[in-house]
Amino acid sequence: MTTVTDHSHHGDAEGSSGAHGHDAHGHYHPPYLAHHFDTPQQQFDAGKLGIWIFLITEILFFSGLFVAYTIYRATHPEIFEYAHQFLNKYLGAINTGVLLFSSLTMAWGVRCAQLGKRWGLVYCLALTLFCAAVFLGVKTFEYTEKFEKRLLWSGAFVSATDLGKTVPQLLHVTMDSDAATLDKRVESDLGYIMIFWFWVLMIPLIMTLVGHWLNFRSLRTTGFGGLIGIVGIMMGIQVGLFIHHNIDPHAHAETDHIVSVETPEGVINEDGESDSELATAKAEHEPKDAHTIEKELVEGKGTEKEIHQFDQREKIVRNWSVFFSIYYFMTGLHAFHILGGMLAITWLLVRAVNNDFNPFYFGPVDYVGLYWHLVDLIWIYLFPLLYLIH
Amino acid sequence: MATDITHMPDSHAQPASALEPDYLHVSHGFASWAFTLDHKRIGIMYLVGVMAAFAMGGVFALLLRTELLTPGPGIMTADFYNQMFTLHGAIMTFLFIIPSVPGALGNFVVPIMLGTKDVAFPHMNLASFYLWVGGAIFFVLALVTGGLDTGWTFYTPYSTTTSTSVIAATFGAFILGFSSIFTGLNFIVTVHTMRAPGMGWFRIPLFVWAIYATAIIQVLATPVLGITLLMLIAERALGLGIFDPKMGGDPVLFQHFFWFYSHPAVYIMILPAMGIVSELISTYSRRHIFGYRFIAFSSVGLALLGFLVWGHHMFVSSQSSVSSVIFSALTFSVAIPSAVKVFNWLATMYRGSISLATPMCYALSFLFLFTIGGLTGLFLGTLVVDVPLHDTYFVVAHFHYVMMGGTLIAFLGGIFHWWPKMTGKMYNEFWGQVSSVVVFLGFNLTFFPQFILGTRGMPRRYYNYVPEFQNLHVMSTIGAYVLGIGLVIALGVLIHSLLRGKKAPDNPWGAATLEWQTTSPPPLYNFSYDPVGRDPYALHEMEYDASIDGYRRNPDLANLAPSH
Repeated sequence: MTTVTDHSHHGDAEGSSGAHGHDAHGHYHPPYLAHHFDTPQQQFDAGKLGIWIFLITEILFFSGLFVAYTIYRATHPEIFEYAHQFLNKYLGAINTGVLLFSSLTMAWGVRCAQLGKRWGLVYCLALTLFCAAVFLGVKTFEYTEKFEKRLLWSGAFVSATDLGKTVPQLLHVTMDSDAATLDKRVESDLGYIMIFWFWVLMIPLIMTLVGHWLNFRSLRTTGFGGLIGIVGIMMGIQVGLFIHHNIDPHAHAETDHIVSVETPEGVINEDGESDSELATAKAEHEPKDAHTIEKELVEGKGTEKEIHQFDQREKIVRNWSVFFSIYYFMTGLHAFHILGGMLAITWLLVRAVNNDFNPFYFGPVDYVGLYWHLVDLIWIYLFPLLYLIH
Repeated sequence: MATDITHMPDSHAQPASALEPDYLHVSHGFASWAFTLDHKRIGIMYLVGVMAAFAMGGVFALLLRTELLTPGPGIMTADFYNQMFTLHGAIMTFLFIIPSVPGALGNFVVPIMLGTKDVAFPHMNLASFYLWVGGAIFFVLALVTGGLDTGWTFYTPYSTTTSTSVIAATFGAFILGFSSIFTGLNFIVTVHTMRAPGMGWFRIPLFVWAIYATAIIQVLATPVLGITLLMLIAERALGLGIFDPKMGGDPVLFQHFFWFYSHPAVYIMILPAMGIVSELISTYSRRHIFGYRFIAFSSVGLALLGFLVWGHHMFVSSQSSVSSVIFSALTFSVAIPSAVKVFNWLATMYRGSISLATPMCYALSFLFLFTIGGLTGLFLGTLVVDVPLHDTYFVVAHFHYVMMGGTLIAFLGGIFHWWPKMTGKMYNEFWGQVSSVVVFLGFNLTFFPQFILGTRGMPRRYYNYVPEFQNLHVMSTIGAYVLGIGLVIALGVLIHSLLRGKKAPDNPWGAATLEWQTTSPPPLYNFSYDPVGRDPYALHEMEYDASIDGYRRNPDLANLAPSH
């Protein structure tokens, strides 16, 4: 940052400032220099300081969630340890790689802008945009899969106002789920999502074509940015499906355990009951299926032990879903920031194609780049905190 | 401080009279205001907006006081009373006090004081105003879609279970938070990068220092409120469980989050007011400000210390006693920079040539009321004293002495001080002084009895009370009406000035800061010459000129009088 006393040196025509009026200050104002700045350097410094302060506010914005995470994890470590296994760390790792790569392309883009390499900048921005979209595609897969497995925030199971009425409801949502059925449902959901994006794809396609015919470059580039984004999302979804089918993170772990999460026994296990107790419980209850137990409970016929176990289960389900509350809140807010970044990068793309940037004016590329690195950085923290904990 | 003034060029000491149209007349029509990027017009729009919010909150306050004239049901039901005090608090805090001085006066004055054409990011500045409007709309929505009865603090678990419009109101506050962040970010960058040549860090006026310190808090604290309110909205709408003990969450965590913002936020409210008072005391005592650097650094010190004391709002929550002791001890540290300021203001007045102009009357009210508010704050920061006084009228009286006796009074003083610059019109001095006296008396009559009520055990936010408290409540209510009349007089003086006021000279008060070295009102880009930073308190260089009924800078006086 230059100090303010420099300004008097920047004023190249200070000597002739006898002239009055704002337009007659004698400074040379290139088109990219806003009226209230004296020099491009001052404009760049102001923007740079501004974006750094903005990034500080972003960090503090997320800090509240990190504190909430820390406190809930400190008070309920068992829930985190238990619940994290439902996150596919391979998908998380791929997304981390994708974002890291996009940071590289972004930084490369800034360098291109500084050197005045117009098309280098355009390619780098397009690649960054594509990576951001792939990230969101993978996230789409993850959210869809969790939605079908009913791995949702607490309120999806119990509303804050009507606790106590929920045992049958809890049973209901977690009942008839074996892995194959779930996978089928996930695939069918994703099929609809793909069809949705396919039709949405028509909008940027039309924009691109119309922009091309009318020779309206900004419209064409915006449409092109949209194409990259949507194709990226669709590819991300495919990546998610591919990984899900080919690299199962739990393949070598107890596969049964994952499914039994949805059964009372598995849940109780995580409540800290001893293994022997669990074994007995398992043996006693294996013959009854969930439907029968639910029916008995609703009719008031359940044994005391069963009632106790279902109470325990309600508590645990309620609590482990707080992990997913935090998961959805943090990753969801992060995804919103990715979306914001994609809009900003599309804006840069349009301006880059229009040749707005040059070695004397590349501030916006630099600022969006810094923002993008921060979004990347937040993910670098989210990934281990949510996916890799043990 | 004024040692190197002489080598500054003096050729632009005074601008030529209106060669170009002023900012009010440079363009016309609704769109020229609605889409303006001029910081002065945005400041004026903010001024109108916050005054409207203040009027709304004030009417609610008068309704509350009227209800409290008698114990038991009066003019409203208990539910309606709960909504009234909640909306009074929420509107006054989020829509009025926080944006008042930075948004209205800061926007208008700071860039001119720095000798620049505009703030660093004019578009963001306009966006900040429209975010304020958006937040206000959400508050009105909350008002018409079921009200709000949580208190302005939105404590869980009540706020997640009550049937009133918590989501609309908290979303409104969330948006207002971004408005505040945009303002703060803009000022920090403006102060760092946009100062005129010669305007070193210790030549920026103390009002700018105060706004700068405020901006630091706005930028560092407000995002935490933003995420807290988002969590509250999610908790209420979806059921996150983070604040819900039934799901293993912790409602006290919400209080920590809330006060982590809201305690620093009281410095967002008071620091700009202190900045105004620094300008007023020096100008109307015709004395160079005493202890410039101490006042400047105490502003920044308050901003930073303000982050360490939030736990003193939670002495009777389930906070551990160790935390409480630490927070209590840290709370006392905040008194130091506040006292530094009061000391320096008094020392500035000492042997000054004090003029009891309207702004100075308000500044003196501020000194008196803020001192009472600050000292009673020490009572509340003391752990053992706070426990019985917590949630009583003592707390209500304390923060009204600071927020209203401090910020509002200084805001009014600032409006009267900069009014000729903003509008180009003078106001009626006599009725201005009358308004300040009536406001001062009404204020004390309203809130001093509340200290007594509080020590006798009257809880805050109660609809009903025992008959023994009625005399004090009646005093307080009468005081509130007097206060209302005083404020109406002040408004009348300003409106009369707009309609009938005589033309203001460029520098009616003889102040030395840069905004008085340009025309009243200023041109679109603030100066018709290239301003140069000088000692902002070199009042002895200002010479009265009867022909214009105002002051001019006389460079020959620079070395004649001592600068302190």
